[in-house]
Amino acid sequence: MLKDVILDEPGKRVFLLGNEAIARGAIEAGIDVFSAYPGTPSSEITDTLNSACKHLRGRMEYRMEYAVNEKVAFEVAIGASLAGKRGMTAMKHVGLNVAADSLFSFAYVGARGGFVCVSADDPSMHSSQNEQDNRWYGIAAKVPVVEPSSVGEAKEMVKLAFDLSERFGLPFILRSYTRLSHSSGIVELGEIPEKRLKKVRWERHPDTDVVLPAHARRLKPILQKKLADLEDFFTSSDINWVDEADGKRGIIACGMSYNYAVEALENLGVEMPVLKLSSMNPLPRKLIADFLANLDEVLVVEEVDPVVELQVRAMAKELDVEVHGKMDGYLPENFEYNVSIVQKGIARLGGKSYDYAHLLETAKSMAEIAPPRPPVLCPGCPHTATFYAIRKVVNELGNASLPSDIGCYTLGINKPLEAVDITICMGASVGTSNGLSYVLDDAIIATIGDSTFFHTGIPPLVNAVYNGNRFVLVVLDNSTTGMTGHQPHPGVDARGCGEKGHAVRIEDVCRAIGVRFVEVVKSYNIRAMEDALRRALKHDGPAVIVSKQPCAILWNRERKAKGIRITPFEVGEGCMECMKCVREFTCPAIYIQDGRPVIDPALCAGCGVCAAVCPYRAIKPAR
Amino acid sequence: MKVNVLIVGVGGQGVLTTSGLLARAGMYEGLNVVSAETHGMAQRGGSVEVHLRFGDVRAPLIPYGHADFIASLEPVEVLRYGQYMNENTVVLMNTRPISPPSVSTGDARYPSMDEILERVEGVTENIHLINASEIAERLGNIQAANVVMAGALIGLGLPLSIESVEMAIADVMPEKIRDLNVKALREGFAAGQRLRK
Ligand code: SF4
Ligand code: SF4
Repeated sequence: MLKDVILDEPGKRVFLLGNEAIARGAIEAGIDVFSAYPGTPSSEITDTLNSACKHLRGRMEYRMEYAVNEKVAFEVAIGASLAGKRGMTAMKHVGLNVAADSLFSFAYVGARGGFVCVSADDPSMHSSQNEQDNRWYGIAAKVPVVEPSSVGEAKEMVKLAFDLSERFGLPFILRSYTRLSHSSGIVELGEIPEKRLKKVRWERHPDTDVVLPAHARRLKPILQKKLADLEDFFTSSDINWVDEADGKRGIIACGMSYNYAVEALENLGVEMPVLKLSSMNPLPRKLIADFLANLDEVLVVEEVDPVVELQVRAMAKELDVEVHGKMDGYLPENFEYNVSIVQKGIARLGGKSYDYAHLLETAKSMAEIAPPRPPVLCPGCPHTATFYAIRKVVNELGNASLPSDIGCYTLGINKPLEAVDITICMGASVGTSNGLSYVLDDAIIATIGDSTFFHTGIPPLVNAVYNGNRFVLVVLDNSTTGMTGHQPHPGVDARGCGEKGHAVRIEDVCRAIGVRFVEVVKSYNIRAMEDALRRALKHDGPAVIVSKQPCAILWNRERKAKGIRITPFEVGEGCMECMKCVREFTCPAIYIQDGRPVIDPALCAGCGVCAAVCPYRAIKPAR
Repeated sequence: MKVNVLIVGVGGQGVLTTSGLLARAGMYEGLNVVSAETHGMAQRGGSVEVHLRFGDVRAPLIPYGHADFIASLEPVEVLRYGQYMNENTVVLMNTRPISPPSVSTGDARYPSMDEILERVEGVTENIHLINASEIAERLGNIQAANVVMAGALIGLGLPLSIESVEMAIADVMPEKIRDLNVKALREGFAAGQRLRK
C-alpha cells in the first residue's frame, strides 16, 4: 500500500506488491527522473511512483511522468542519466520492442547517472499478445540483466542495479514478470534519502554520447570490457549463491524459479545442491563452472526460453556434465512455471515419481459445468455503444475489415459485437489499415484507443494522409488508459505527479496532419455514430471519427466523489421479450430471468444506451 | 507451518481486498506471507483468483493439490480450481450466484447448486455454504460480503485471529466503512464457527 511505500521507518517490515517493492526500491535509491508508458504487468510501478511523488514532495523529490510511449520514456531516462542523474523507466515486455532502438545504442554510450529499465515479462501471456523473453535483449544489446527471486529481493535489486550502473557505466535491465510484479510479500524497509531535485550544469561528452560510426567503433570494445568486469563482479556477488548439498545431481534455478525448486525439493523430501542465479546477463561463468565441476547432471530451471540452459549446455560439454531442462523435455518449453511443474522435472532428475496429471484430470471434470466467464466490457462502457453502431453499419454493408488495437476494446472481438478482426501491437490498427486499403474491395473501419493513438497511432496516420489511403479510423476516446488502471495520457489534462497538463486534442492533431474528414461524436449517441460512419465511408482518403465519452469506471468514480446518485435503468411494461438488448447489444448489467431481461441496479451505470437500442422503448430510468 | 488459502470470485467482488486483509493480519501475527493475484484483461466481470500462503512458504502460487482453504465468493467460481484441492481442503462458498453473460445469451448454462456440490464433493466433503451477500446486505452494504467471507474462514479454522484482521481493517479501509466491515467480519466469524460444528 502507498502508506507503506512512503513510510520512513527503516527496519520495519511491510507487505508490498512486487511492483510496489520495485517502486520503493527506486525511492530508496533516490531516483531523479522516472518516465513510463503503462503496460500490464508493469503499471503499478508507475502508479505507485505517481502517488508517492505527491507525498514525498519536500523530502525525496523526483520528476515523474507518463510518457507517450516506451521509446520516449526510455529516452527521457537516458537524458537524466547523461546529465549524471538517476533515470528509470518501466514497461511491459513488448514495450521494450518499442524502445529497442534506443536500448541498443545507449549500451554503447553507457550510463553516467544510474539507469534502470524494468522489463516486466508475462510468461503464460496473462494479458499480452506474446510470451517474449527479454533476457535475449540483454544478450543482443550487451546490456546487463538481473532477475530477482522474491518481492523483498526485488526492492534490494533496484538499488543494487543503480549502484552497479554507475560503477560500471552500464544501463541495467531488471527483469520482472507477472508472478513477481503481481505477487506480494514481506519487505524490510530501508532508508528514504533526503533529497531535492537539483538542476545541474550540462557537461559535454561528445566522444561517448554521440554514436558517430568512428565513436561507436571505439565504444564497442569498451562496452565489452565493462561487461567482462561486471561478470567478475557477479561471480562473487551475493545475488547469486549456492545451497550446498551432497550428490552428483544439482539444479540451476533462475529468479523466481529458485523458490519453485526449493519448495519442490521440500515436497519431494530430496536434497540436491542448488545454484540460485539472479544475474542473467552476463552469466557468472566461473561460478557456474565451479558448480558444475562436482556434478554429473544438472537441471536448469528458468521461465520462457532456454536462455541460461543454452549457455550452460555449451559450458557443460567440456566438463562432461549432462544438462536437462526445456530442451530435453524435463521441463515444459512454454508458459509460466509453478512448484508442481518444477517438482515433476526434479522428481525425474532425482529418480522419484511425481505427477499431477490426475489432479488436472479431476479439475477438468469439475470445470466442465462452470459457464465460461471471460472478461467483458463493463456496464456503461462507451466502447460497447460504438462497437454496436459499427456492427450495425457493417451488417448493412455486408462485409468490412475491422482492424483494432491494444486495449480493453480488444474485447470488442466477442459476440455479438464481433467488431475486431485484427490486433497485432500498439498502433498496428492504423498501420495494417494502410496495407489493407491497397488490396481490399471492402470498407475498412479501424478502431484505436486514445492513449494508443498518441502512443504509435499518429505516424501511420501521417502515412495514410500522405499516400491518400482510404479507411475509417474510429478513435475510442474514453479519456484514459483504461486497461492498465486509468493512467492519464497527453489527451488528458492531468500529468504524472498530479499536476495539471496541457491536453492535446485528438481532433486537432488529425486536422493538423492533414486528415480532411474529422468528426467528434458522443459515444452514447448510437445514431450520431452510425450517421458519422456512413459519411466517413464515403470520404476518399483517411477519415477519423473521435468517439468520445469518459470510461464508465471514471464516470462512476467522478459521480461518487461529487455525491451524485447513479440512476439505474429498468426494463418496464412494454417489453416484448424480443431480446435485442441481450442478444445484439450485451451490457453485463442486463441478464435474463424467467425469460425476461432484467437490469441489475447494482451494476447499471445509467448510460441509457440500452434504452436507445430497445425497439419498443421499454427501457427507462428507474424511478 | 504452512497454510495455503485460495480466494476466488468475480472481478468487482473484492477478492483482492479480502486477501489483502488476511495477508496483513498474518504479517501482524509474525507469520511469513506470500500472495499472488491473477486477473484477466478487463476491470470487472471476469474470474479473479488470489493465492495466499502463510508460514514456511516461498512460491506465490499454491502447488497443485495443496490448498488448505478455498473461499469462493461466487458459487461456480469454485469449480475452476479443482487442481488445488485435496480430500481435506476446506471449501467455503458464498451461495449468491452472479450469472455470466454467456448464460444470458444462452451460450452456456448455469449449473444447479446440487450439481456444483456434487462435483466438489467428488474431491472434498468438507464444503460449507454461506449466504455472505445476504448477511452483508442486512448489515447495509452488499460490498462487505467479502469481509463476511474472511470472518467465516477464520471461524472455520484458518489460524488467524479476528483481532488481527480488525487491525488490518483499521489500517486499510477508509474510516466511514470501517465499523460496517468490522461487524461483517464478526458476523462472518460467528457463521463460520457454526458451520464448523
Ligand atoms: S430490447 Fe426492449 S423489448 Fe426487446 S427484450 Fe430488451 S427490453 Fe424487451
Ligand atoms: S443503462 Fe443500460 S446499457 Fe447503460 S449500464 Fe445500464 S443496463 Fe447497461
